[in-house]
Amino acid sequence: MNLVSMFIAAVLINNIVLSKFLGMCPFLGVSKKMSSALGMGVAVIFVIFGASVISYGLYYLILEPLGLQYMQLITFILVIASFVQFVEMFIKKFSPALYKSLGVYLPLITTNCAVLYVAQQNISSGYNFIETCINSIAVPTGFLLVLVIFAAVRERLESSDIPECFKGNPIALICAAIMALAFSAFAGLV
Amino acid sequence: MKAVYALLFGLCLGGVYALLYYLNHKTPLPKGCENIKAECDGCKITSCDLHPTHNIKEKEND
Amino acid sequence: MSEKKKSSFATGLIAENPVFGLYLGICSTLAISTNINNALGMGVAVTFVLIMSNVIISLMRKIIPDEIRIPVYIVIIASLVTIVEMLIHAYAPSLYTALGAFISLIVVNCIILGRAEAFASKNPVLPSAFDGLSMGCGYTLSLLAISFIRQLLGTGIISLSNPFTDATIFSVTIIPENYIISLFTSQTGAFLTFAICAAALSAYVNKQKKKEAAK
Repeated sequence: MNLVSMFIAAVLINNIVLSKFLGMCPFLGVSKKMSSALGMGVAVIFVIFGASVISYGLYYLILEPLGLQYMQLITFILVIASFVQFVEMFIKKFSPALYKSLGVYLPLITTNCAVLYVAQQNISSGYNFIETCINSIAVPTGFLLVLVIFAAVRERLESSDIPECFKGNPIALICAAIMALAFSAFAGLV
Repeated sequence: MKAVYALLFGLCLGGVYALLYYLNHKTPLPKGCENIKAECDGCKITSCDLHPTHNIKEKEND
Repeated sequence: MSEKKKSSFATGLIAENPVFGLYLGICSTLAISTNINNALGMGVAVTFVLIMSNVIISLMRKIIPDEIRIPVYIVIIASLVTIVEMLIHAYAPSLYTALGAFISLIVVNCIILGRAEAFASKNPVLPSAFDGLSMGCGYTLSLLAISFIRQLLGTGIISLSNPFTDATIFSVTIIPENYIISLFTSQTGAFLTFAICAAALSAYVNKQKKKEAAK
């Protein structure tokens, strides 16, 4: 039960985009089309889960026994970047179909702050392995949810009459503000 | 001794990343995917090759 | 300082402001702009990392192999951020708590990697350091602007304290407590303030462009 409420809290209440403000670049950049929003969201789930689990392992198996906790940041950023490169290479070689739907979004993920944040959050919150796995799936699921909702909103925005200076990102951010207001109603859920 | 471990570990990870980065950039795109590219216009750095106007501007220069 | 440098400094601050103009580093801008203290601390930290990374990368630009330059930049930036994180933790513990995870997230702030790639990798040391200073000031200025608006409307009090000793430098109540809009301290307020600031800058830039076109 505790794990279920942890999942819901990470998806809806502490939503990575609307409440923690992370992953704003892909949130604004890849939300113009529903198909790309879906592809990006699923790719992010995959990368965050993989990179977080590897980082977790490296931290507790190598960094902590050797007393090298200060290497955490460098280790994590390198793990994330290497993982993205590896997955991209693997998909390119073995599955063109998967590359079409997910692989193209991988270059966008390396500098996505949400990935590094989740890897560090798992350590700083003192999660055990199962909690780490749940958290690393829940947080990017929240990202996918918000990205898809936002893509639906932006498809409507394309055809509406917007003041010149608000065109593009400013009006998108106003929409995000209203979404954040809606999501703040989830606060009492768990 | 700790510093040596740290240095070795860091170099190891950095080496792995550099190698994977190099190998990935050498791997050709699969057939039929040469022209597919994710577009991202979240920021306005047009020199980034993910920005939609990146290639358009280059063509104008030719 | 030459005329050209002066004008490029001004572009970095206004027309090509990294935050409201180019939309770089939005995540940290939205998250830590709840008060002026955090904004100033974050701005100084980012400016420091930006200048140092520009200088180091510019010094090493002829040694770094072109194929693996991005990995090298990331290692350099991550090391610098680790140093900054440790310094803040040691000398300004309250700032460290307030900024939290966002200090280490400087690594993935696109301003830093973006400037390393676009400027420092092609230019000599001094211009690169200057570019870092200009971009860092632009970032700090935007942070200050948005946090000033949010703190003023959300709490009604404008205050500044010394991050090293936590002593209050000044604190002025401008809006009485009954008239504050606490929405501005929440997430919604962050998005709204950012959107309006960005729209205002865009309106200003459009106006300047029209003026130039009319000439």
